[in-house]
Amino acid sequence: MNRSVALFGSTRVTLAGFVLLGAAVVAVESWPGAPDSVAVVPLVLLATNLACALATRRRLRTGGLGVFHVALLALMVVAAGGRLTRFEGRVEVAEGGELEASAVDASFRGPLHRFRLADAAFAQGPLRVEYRAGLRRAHTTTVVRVRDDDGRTRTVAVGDDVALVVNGYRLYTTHNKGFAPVVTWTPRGGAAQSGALHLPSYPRFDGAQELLWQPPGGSELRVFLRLDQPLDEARDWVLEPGATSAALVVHDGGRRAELRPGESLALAEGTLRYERLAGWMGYRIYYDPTLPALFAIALVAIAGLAWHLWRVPLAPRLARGAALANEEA
Amino acid sequence: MASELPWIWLAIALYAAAAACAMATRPLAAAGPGTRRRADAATFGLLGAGLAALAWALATRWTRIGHGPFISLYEVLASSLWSLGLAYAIAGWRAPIVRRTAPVVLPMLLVLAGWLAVANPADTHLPPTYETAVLWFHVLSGKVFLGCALVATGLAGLMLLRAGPCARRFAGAPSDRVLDALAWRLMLAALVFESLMLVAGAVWAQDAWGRYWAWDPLEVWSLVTWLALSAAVHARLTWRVTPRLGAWMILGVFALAFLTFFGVPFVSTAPHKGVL
Repeated sequence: MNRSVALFGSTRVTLAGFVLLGAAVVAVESWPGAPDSVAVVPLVLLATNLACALATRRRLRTGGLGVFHVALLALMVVAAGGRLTRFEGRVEVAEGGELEASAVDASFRGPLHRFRLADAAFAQGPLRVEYRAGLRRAHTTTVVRVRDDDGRTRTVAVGDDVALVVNGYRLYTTHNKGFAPVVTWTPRGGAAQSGALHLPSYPRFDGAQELLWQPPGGSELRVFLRLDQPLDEARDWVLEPGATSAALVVHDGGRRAELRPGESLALAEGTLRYERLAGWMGYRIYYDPTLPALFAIALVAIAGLAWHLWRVPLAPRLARGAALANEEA
Repeated sequence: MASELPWIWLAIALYAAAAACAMATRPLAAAGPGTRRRADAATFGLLGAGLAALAWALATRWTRIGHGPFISLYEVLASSLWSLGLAYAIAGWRAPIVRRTAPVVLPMLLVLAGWLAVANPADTHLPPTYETAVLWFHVLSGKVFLGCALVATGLAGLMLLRAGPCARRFAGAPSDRVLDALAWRLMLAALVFESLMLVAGAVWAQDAWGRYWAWDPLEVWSLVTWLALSAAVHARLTWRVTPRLGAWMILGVFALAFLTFFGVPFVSTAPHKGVL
């Protein structure tokens, strides 16, 4: 048994693991369709090899080398735990609206992840995105109102590298955002309903700011947003939907009408009122409870390696003066 | 024409002069201590002047466009030429043994300088995700890593050249055992700083793009370089490789690191996928 453990903990197995892991990560990078799980097998091999080596070779458990190797093993175990509990996804929230958990589009969900992002966890406030000439995106800022577990609300500003953290979920603003005209639809004999029309991403789809929309109980309408000030790519520019002047163009069959904020359009099945222009923001969602532990362990590992380096004996006569004296003798 | 370009050209000329001076110095065995000291002073004096000119060029560009040299290949080459030159000058100042590697190291820097001369110097835009202190730590760690690897490669090159066609030229240099010990100590230091670079990069990526790892080309090749360096350290311990074989291993790791730093911008539109 001990012999097997020693054999599996040999440096030759370590080297084989390095080669396999190197090949796996190159494969993941080279073939876009390759799942990153192909790196799991060599990582498990290396973790097992390291555990066996630590069990059988005392030198690896002492001093800086010991700190480094134990931390490295812990890093692999914690990273695996993070992978099992991780959640990644996307969601878009309109200004004035609240997060709808059902609207979250999950791209990765670890088998041990329990989804805890609740409805109305936060409400979207105004957004502002700065652009430099040439349509180069600069700062993104948006204000959100977060509802904590105790029912209290707080207002926070997020954007760029500042994430919104709700229940451990980290929500990052993205390049994906756009206009969301707020309208009120009053069907004949029915109650008025307000909501935001979610137009395509802007300025990515500048020129295609339209959608087909069917009001509840009404006929399908083609809705188009016409900005009073067209996008000028040659100049610095700010996307601030709440402060943008635009007309909502509504096509109802052969009929065309342009609405300004506060104006209404009487249709066969009811009345459409254009309230105001707002925006929507696309968020990237990331949940991994192991992030602080991963960071701390990685720093400990590097500190161990540095400690080991400091203590490694240098060849005799290598001090700068001695070496030169030797050389020039 | 950008105001820093004359300084860039001056720096390239001074790096070339330093390399020429190092190459033209008489063989070690034939030169007396006084001759060698004068040659070293000329070589490192020219290198220092090149560093000063390049520092001025970088500062001028920085002031003009409002951000540091982090984005384009031109900026990465210019800042690396400066940081590698500085790392080599400091190593040569602290350990005179390193000065003997000037005919190996300075031509390598000259290759970078030549590449810089033909790179596109167009102004760049700094994405908001680059406006973080973590970026500084990431870049600084990377530069120290490559600097350590460069000096180790110089020592490895000296060992290999002495065993081959330039035996007479480097005959008076310290023994392979001494060079090997110093070179691998530097490679261990390189491993520490590359690890720091990867960790700082992961922290930055988490904040900037909402993930700490996404298999972008630079992440992958940095990891492959880390694996290669770790494998080289383990292989050297396992098989007690000769200094000459160890020197080849150091060259291999440096080549991989070089391709990672300066090759990836060729296959990617920016140093990192998320930058745009």
